[in-house]
Amino acid sequence: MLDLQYMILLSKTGKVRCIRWFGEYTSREKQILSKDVIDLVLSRNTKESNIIEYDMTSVTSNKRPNGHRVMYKRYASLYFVAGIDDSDTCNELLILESIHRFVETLDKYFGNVCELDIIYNFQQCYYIMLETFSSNGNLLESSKKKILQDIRIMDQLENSEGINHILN
Amino acid sequence: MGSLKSFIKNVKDASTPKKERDIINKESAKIRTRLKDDSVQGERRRTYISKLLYLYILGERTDFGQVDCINLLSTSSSSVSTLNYEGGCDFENKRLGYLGVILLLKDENQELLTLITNVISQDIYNKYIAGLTLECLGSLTNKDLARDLCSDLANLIVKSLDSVSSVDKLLTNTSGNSGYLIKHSLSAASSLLKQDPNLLPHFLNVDNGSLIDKIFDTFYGSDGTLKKNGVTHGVLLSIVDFVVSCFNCKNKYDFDSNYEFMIKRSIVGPLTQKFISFLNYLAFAVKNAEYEVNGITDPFLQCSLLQALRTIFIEYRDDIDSNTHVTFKQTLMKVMNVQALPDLKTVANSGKKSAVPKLSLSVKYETIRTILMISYLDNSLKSLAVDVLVKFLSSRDPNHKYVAMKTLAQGIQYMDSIDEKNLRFILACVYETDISIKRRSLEVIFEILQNDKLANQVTILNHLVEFLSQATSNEKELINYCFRKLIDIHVLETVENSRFLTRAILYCGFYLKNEQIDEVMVILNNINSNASVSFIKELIQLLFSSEVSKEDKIFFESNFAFKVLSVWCMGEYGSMILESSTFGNTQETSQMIVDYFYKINNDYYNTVESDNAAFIINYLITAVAKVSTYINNKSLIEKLRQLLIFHSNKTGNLIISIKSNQLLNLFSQPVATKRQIFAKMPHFKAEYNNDALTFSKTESSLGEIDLLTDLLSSANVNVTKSNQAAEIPLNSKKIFQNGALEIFYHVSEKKPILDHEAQIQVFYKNISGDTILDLHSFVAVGKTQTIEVGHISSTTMEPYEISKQHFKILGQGHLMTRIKLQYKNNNIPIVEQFDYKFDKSI
Repeated sequence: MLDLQYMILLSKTGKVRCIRWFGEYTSREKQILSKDVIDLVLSRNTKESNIIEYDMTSVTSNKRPNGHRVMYKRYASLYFVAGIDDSDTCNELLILESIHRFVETLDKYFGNVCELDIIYNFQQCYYIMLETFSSNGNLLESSKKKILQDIRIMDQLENSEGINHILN
Repeated sequence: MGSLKSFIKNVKDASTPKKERDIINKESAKIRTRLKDDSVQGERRRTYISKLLYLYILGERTDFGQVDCINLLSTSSSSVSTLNYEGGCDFENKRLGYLGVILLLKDENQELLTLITNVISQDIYNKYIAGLTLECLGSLTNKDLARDLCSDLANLIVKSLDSVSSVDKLLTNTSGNSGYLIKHSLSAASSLLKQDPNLLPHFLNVDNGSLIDKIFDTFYGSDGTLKKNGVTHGVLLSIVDFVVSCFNCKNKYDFDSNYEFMIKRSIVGPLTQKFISFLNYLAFAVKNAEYEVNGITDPFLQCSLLQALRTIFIEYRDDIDSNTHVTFKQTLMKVMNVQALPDLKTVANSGKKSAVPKLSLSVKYETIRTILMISYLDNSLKSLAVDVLVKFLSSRDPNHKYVAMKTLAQGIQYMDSIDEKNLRFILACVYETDISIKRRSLEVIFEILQNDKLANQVTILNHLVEFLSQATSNEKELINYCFRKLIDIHVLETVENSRFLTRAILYCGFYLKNEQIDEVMVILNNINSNASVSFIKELIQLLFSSEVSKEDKIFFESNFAFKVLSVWCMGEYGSMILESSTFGNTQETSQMIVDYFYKINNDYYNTVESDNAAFIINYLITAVAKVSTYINNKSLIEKLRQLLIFHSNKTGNLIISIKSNQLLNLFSQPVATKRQIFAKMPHFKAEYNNDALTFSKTESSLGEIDLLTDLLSSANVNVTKSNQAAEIPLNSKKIFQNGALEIFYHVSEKKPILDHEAQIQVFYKNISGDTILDLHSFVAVGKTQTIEVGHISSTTMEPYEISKQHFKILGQGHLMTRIKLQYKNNNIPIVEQFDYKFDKSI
């Protein structure tokens, strides 16, 4: 189980490139949280671990556990950030591996992915995310091949439709 | 209006934040007007929606486009809806529409969700759109949506499963499709259960009770084989996800025992053994490029299985036969040892894409935690797990260090010994750059400290004090944590360790709160006299000794807690300090003490209005009075008296000046009486009450001390709250009156949570001169409504007392009530009945 609360793709300049919320937050909480997360992640140096402990009391009322982890991995100019609540089930190492799995999938899909691919094709990035992580923040599919296969079929459908339209 | 690409490019290339802002605002306004225009369709409309999504990523307002996303996905959804349908002329619209809805409507406008209920119930039967539809249902679902669509979802799962078993023998390809549908449906089902656990029977009832088991058997053999072509581990991942959600339902809500039975029958019974075998298979599987992560086959599935099994073995221990218990234990052992740990020091962490961390420890980590969490597993297995965990510490990857430290805090208790090298490693971790690792390693160190068979306390305390002495003001929180922990575990209260207490105060004093200083005083007061003597010696040595370097002196002088404590100690232990020969002769020492008091006074009397100054001066004047009883030198005593006079005349802080006056009165008493009054404090027991510290005596040896507690507790005023009697709110309506009773209705002004609901507070007031006994009310409402009647807060009312009762009326129509009352007034039973009509409906 991963139990991700959100996933943010972040450029090293602090710009959000892709963001999805899995957990339930109000708009205000989302605002504070994403701002804090961006600041935290950008201020880390390479010697530190990829796990940041974060106290939720400043963000939200006491309805959820206060312990929160922000986990990130940097790939070239892009940070992949995931948030989890502190619980018995959260496995930090597994989350870092799932982030890596997602990046590998993107890499395969775009062919040596770079930040620009994600900026200009954010929908595609979202579609892959939708096939990789389920709506409750868990991993939906551990086979890259299967994800790519499904996405490709959908892409073909979309394109063939476009062609049909023109022909009609 | 340009394409999506040019919009993104313009935003990206904007030279200043202001220009970027302008571009975004302009585009946002354009999108808003264009979307309103119904003639814009097809490709152009999709471009606008895409731009809208880009606005969402930028963190801009997008609420104006929510309805347009819904419109996009609902266009022509009435078209073909069969399992074999693969898109249609509206696929493009739907794909984008669902993405938009998933993003824009998450946690937003709940009312709009009812608009998509129908579309979802149709679209889940369309092959590729179904995936998106189910994801949409999963992310957006609220209680209503969950209830409306739950049976559809259960149907879909059953149907897809049927199609696999019937058709698949001929067409191997469809199994992949059905697998895809089942995977998404199960994960959506997990989300629905999170919203409303009462939906559990839909998936586990008698008809489809063995559904989950059937899915497993259809796709997987328990030896880890995939039975159908095109099937992946995805389905099993979502099965486990669903199973864990079922368990979570139990934790979140008071469970019906029937649900418990369903879980046992449908999940625990059939699946436990299969999960274990599958895990076993994965742990030893031949490398498979599709699932491998650094030599481990599908760690995601392995960890999920471990987590599900962990819950089963913790919660349903007695429902599992002993054979299975044994196999599970063996499996855990195997999984933990499956890949011998290489020399972890060579594993570096690097952010670069090419340099992937070469080792996957996630499964090992999960196994170790599982072993530690199942309390009844034997200790030998646990200590084995901790041994492996300790090896994580030497990894150069800080993430490994972090998880190891985090888990070790729970694991230390199972260790019999810890070798020198590892201990050094743990102690060194407090100097890591990463604050999380630091904090976690301190936690571990305190665990070790409490477990004295593992390591020498003094060695560890030495290291801790060393760490504290080097800590910077950025680490305030950590320092405070350390100090609190040191106090809480009572480790410093022996003669040998009291010197560490002096040091701890010295290095942490800057960061302590006043309450914590009070706490230290209580501890000093309560520890045995040998320990306190050695503490005082250390303290006075630091204060007055000429051997202490100048820098250190300056260091103490800026340390508030240190100053307060030394003032307090001089007061309490004055006689001891003066009598003890270690500090030079009595005369000199008295002089030094009085000088010190004057110095403190000079530092703080100006600012006596501030909290800190008042705090220390408060202790100072008490100490002055106390010390005066031990000093023989007349002129010094006079100096002390002057100090009290000075404060009694000052008006900055009234409490202090009153207290000084009282002390002055006592000051003129004969020495013998004075000594009794100002004797050392008795043992205290600290009580935490309303967040303020109040002290109460546990033994009182002298009558005079009662008087002292009065005098000295001025800083700690204990406020008791009187229970407020019920009052009738101002805007209540009187609905009934007779000779004995007045009755009021008060309708809460807050909007009721549901429509067609009224919350009414009823107040009964006794206006007779006698007590009313046994008050009972019977309430009826109109046929279209139901009422829930709360308890009367008190059925006995003294004259002019008020009782409360709560009515909750549900339903529709005009609001009216008929109340029948029974009570005894003056011991005469009385029955009253009356109707009341409200001027509004619900």
